Amino acid sequence: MRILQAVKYDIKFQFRHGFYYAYLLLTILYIFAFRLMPIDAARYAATVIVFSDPAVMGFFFIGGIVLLEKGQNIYQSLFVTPLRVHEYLIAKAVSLTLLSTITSFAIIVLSFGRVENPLIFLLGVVFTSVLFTLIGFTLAVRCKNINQYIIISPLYTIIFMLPMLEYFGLTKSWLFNLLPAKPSLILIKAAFYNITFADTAFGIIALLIWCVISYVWAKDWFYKYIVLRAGDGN
Amino acid sequence: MIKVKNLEFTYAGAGEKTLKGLDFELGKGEVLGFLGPSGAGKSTTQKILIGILKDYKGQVKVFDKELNSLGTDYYEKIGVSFELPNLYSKFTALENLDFFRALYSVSTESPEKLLDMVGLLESKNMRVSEFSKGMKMRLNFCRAFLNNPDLIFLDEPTSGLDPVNAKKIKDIILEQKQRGKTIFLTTHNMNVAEDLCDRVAFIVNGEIKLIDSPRQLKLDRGKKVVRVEYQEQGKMEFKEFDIAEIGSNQQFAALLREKQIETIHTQEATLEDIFIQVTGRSLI
Repeated sequence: MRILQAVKYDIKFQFRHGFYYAYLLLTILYIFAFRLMPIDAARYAATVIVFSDPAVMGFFFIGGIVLLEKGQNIYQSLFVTPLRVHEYLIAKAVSLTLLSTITSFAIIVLSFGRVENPLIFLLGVVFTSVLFTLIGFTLAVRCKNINQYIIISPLYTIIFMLPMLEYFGLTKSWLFNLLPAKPSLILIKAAFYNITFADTAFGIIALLIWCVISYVWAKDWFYKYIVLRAGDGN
Repeated sequence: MIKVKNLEFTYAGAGEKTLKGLDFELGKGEVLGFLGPSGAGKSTTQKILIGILKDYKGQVKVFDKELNSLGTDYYEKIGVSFELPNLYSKFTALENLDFFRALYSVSTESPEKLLDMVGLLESKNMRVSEFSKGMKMRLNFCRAFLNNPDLIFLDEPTSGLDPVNAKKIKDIILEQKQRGKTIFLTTHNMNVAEDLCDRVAFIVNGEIKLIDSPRQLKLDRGKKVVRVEYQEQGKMEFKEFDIAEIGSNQQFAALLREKQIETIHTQEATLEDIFIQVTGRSLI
């Protein structure tokens, strides 16, 4: 199957570009840190870290991948094969989500011994990773180089991340329910605590809606800014 | 294989049409060269023919079907090579071909065979980042043949290659033609066009000014004379003779007999001359 082949080579690509080594080191550091912290503080911190790092990692990695592929002129040749844009996007999201999921579980299991509600936690990490990978696409397709991506990305993501203020107890607003960080944090917290059915349902539905919106958005912009421009400059 | 009628294209936001009503056909087993300076509309035409730009006006039939109605299956049947190398630099030559090969459902050529064809078999396990520009170009080129396509689009296939490798690429194109493959080639290299194309189309400002075989063009538009260069008292001189009835031309025969001849050439026009003559533009 074409998507599986694309996923396989995406993983190979990410591996060759050293993404995994960098991430392995970071994961080990997190695990050490959480093991040294008091359990409650570690759980509190780990929820935020799993959300803002492995789960959202796709956002940062996809920027690097798209800009590397752009730099290597890959898109010209890719979209004159039977590979379609949706297959390309899905393969990227799957490969990065695999890495996100493995890392997230590794951090929790190796730091705390177990995951309380593995299925809900898994869904939280998977949806968050897919969502932020897709959001990353929408920025990456418009950036010319990696520096531009790094400079713009905090401004770009801050709006999606605002509900973290609530998690830190700084402020509250019902508007946070509309942003993806809220449902993500709820589901990721399930690694340590039992959450209500209503919260679980809210988390899953809200993230699903966000994933659909960002998929349509990413596909549209990828086509417009990458595929249509493939072959320019000749 | 390809039938194009009154093809027009305007880029979104552009005031002027990039293509202003192109008409041409490309028969099975034929090599058609699109010649023109940068910005003439060559790339746009190719991007329409390979299905990237969809909002064209006019009729474009490929494999007897309107291009817009062809699904992704279309890409199973065509091969495309762009001018600039577009390869995964951290992958080896073989990994690059293996990856692209995996995207096709039709039966594919062996990557080793293709690498051998362009003289890269020994470098199959080298990463592309270690390749020279010429090696990248050759890898890029051979990738277009992975799915054993019937219709092949080549953009400046010999650009950036040394004469030996350029010859190798040209030979491969001619061999593909002999196997009945149809080739659409864009270039601004007149020698490439002359050596490879059954017909050439001159394109300038989004219009085709002329389509014909290179040989016919050169004959039709050249001077029908033979130019003889010879030595005369230590100096180089020349005389031109009408080709018609040259066999019975006494002056010509006398010159050949009596003088030390340096060169004898018919004076057909070069494609470059004809291009400038027809379009009023140079190719570069």
